[in-house]
Amino acid sequence: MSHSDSIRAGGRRSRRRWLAAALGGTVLLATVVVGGAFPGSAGASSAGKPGTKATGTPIVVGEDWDSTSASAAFTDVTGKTLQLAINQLNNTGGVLGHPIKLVIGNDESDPTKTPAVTQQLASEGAQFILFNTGTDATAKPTIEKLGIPSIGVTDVIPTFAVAPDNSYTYLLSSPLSDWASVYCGAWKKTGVKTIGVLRDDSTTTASLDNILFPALQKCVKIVDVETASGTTSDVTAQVARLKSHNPNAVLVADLGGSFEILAQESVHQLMPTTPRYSLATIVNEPATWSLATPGSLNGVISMGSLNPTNPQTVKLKAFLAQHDGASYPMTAFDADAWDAVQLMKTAMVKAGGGNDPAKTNAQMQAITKYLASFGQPGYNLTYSATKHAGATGLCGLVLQQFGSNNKPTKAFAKYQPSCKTS
Amino acid sequence: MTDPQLWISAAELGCFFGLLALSYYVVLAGTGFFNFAIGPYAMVGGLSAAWLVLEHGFELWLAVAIAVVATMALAAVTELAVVRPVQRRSGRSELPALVAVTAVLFAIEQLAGVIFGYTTLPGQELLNIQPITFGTSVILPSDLLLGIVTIVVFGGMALWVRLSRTGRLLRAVGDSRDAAALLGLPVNRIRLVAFVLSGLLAAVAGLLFAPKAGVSSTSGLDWALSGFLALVVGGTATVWAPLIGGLILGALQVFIPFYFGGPSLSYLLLVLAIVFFAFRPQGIFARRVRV
Amino acid sequence: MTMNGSSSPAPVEVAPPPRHRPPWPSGLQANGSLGLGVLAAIGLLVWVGVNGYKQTLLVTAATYALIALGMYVPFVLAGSLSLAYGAYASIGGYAVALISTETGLPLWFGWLIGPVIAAVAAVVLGLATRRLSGFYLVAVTLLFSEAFQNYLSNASFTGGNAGLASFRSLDVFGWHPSNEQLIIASAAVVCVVAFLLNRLRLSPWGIVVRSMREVPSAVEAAGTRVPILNLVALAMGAGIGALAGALFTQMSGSIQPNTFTLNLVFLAIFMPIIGGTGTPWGAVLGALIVVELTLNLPSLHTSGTLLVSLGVLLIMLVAPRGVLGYLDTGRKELMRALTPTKGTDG
Repeated sequence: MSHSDSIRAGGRRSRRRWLAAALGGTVLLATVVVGGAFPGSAGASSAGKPGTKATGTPIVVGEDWDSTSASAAFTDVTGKTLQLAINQLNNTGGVLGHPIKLVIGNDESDPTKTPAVTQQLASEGAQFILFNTGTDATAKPTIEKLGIPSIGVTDVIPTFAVAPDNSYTYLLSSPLSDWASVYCGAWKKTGVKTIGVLRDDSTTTASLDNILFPALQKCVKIVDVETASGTTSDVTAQVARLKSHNPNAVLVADLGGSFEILAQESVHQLMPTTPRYSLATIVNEPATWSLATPGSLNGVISMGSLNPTNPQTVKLKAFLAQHDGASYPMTAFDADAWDAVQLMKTAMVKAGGGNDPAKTNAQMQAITKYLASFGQPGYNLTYSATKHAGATGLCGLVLQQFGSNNKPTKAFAKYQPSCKTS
Repeated sequence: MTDPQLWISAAELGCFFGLLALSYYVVLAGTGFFNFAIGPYAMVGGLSAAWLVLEHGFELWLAVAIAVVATMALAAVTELAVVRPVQRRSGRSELPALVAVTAVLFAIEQLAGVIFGYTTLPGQELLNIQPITFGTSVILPSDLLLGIVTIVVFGGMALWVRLSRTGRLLRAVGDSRDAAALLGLPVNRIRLVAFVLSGLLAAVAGLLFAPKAGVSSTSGLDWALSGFLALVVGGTATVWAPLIGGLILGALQVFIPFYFGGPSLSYLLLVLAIVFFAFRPQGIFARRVRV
Repeated sequence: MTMNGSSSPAPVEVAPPPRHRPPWPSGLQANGSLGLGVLAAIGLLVWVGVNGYKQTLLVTAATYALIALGMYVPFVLAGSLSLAYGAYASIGGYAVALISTETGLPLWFGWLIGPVIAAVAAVVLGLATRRLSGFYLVAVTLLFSEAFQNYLSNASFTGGNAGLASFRSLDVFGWHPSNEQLIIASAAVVCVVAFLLNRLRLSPWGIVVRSMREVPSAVEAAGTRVPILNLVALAMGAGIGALAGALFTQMSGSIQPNTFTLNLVFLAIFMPIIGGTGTPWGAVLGALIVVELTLNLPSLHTSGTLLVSLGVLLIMLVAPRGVLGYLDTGRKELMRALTPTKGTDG
């Protein structure tokens, strides 16, 4: 082949490759443009078919569901039950005949994404937003601007419901100050005067601890706090340091999941006779119990909120058994999800329909003595213009204890909170 | 006042890092390239086995076999579809290959999340005996297995590299690729063997370490970095050097937080890396070329 | 230039054959790109309008674009890959946050001092790592990011792991820009930075930096000190990265140690590769594509990052000069097909 021939052949080859790439690129571009021009349309999932009884124009409700980060351990349970509750609602008349249409966004518990996802749900017509993610507090300025009533379904950090930017935000769970009172009650009863804390380095845990520690220090001395990376595979060093301070009890604080199990196991290995308390409500994360080696969770006392003698709890357990099977381990997340939907429905119905967020918001603040599906029998949630966290007293909380089968088999026998306001 | 449990933890971490470093070593020897995707390979090994057993009820050893084969295939694909074409195209510059392997690392991590889910799964116990206790310290069966397998693997590799034909070819290619190509050695075949072997080692490491704290789709990045550090600290003079590097790193990871607490470990690792990389990038056990 | 009295004849200027002259003079090339960039920005701003969701997307895209532009100078021009950009963005963000919450100083002071501190940090890190390259540099800068994030979590004045929030609104000598104005300003900042970097790339300085990457000895022989150039490139990149952090923190209202995650830094590496490394505008285009894929496509859970990784691999294998380079090749092919050819460049 002559020199110019080979150049021409090379030119032809590269041209062919260019054309092939053009084809592939055009296909990709088309997908991107079509998918992006209609934000949310490709992925918006609707809540089952509207039932036989609710057939009016749908009311759009947004859910920010982080289904992909480390928090997925509990958000998935919450998400599933939110869906069930909405299906149930639609099958029994919806909101004054209108079914609820659920649109879902995912902020991956990433504080840089939460405002964008909140905006996205609003642009899809959401009249109410349910937050099922670890970063709901970062959405507050956006929610305030949009004026859409929102519930932080499983959030226990008071920030979401207090000023600033809280005109439209609500919580159901018992606040941390109540948690402190319950722990203090238990510790006073069992003679614990000093504690050591082992925690992860997440933002949620840090925010929790900033509020909890000062409250705890009213009844015990925190002799040592050890922090380890949430993704670490080993906490032996941190536990050894805790051990050297000789606390009466150890409190483990984290987002739950594998860190909690690793921490509990290590404390069990190195400090086998020290009582272990968990801040992370692993009693509510059945998926993580199997991560633990046999017997390593025996005796762990964890803050829970389910009392089997509460009639509302029994009702919900029966409902869930129909859908998830009789052996489904109901958790506080199921109760939170169910109650969030009921509260939303109540407010919308009293406002005469779900399509006026301002009216719905006003009616949220008028809800009093709603019987919760968790807590001691008779426990209720109450809201007002100045009270956006529904908890009323300590008895929304139940201290549960793990048995040797690594399952929470009983309520902590030595102490349970009574229904008096803290 | 050092608890024996601390030493057990350090040894366990050390063996894991050592195996990862060995995986890096094999690819480095065969191709002169640091394959950061080794972290995700180990993750795929551990996670896929756990997923097959827990979500689909597979029998344990079948799941393990599938996991190992899948990881080796993944390694082969990395070499054939990504590293070789990119290196061929970019010549002397190592940046495109580096970026490409980073993209592979992310792609594997995300794919694993999509396929296996995002929650942490417990690693599968391969040895079913009672934990060994002495005093207040405990050696779990997975710890014991990891230690034994590490010694066996390193010993096996040392022999293989010295005695087998492929092993010696690996070292030859690693010493000088140009000379090897001139001599007519099958450079491409050696490269593929190196990658597949590293996939096998990473899968074994991931399977054995997963029981310690579980494994999730995002475990790969940390593991990739730890293995890399262990290799650089240990050096490449002998097959055993990566293990020494791993043990040193494991000891640091346990004892520095114990004595100094808090974030001291990340500060120390940074200083260590800067010093080591700048002054002794060939590691503690440096290969001396006889002139 | 001949000297007076020299006996050698004046050198004859031989006009080089037309096809060796660069197609556009460098100033025109930079201005042309700016024109296209500004047109695209205006188009985007019109598309965004007053839709809050799209506004947030644009701000996120502007942040990503600035981080990618920050990485452009050291990475694309000088060939050194540093993963410390999350730390630089955090410095910018925390500077704004701390000025707002801890002092009474005007907020724009935070916007100025953040990039300065980041530049200093980059120079120190650059000095410590000047003998490193490739994989070693990546590992060290990765460790630096982790150490810095831990420092932010543990230092007493940074609010720990909970971070800082509720900042004052921006007040520039009495002018309180509205949200819409800030959005326009972010787009403008990106265009300005891209334009300036493009001029830099085409300037003699830029050419020296690019040669430094290929043949450092030639550059040294010409009299320029390579290490100094490297440090300047790093400082510049860090400053731009800090600007990105300040922008995002101001617009989103809060910052934590883990706001600018490692994920973001890796995405920032991919952005110039996707968009095209030939010009800084490639980094901007790459940022837009990445934001589109990771935030605006809800089809699969978090598949955005997966698509980006696969896209990068595809581009590196098939169209290594990125989207812009690809379009440029297409333009050349088109022109070649349309004009009659003479000679042997078939």
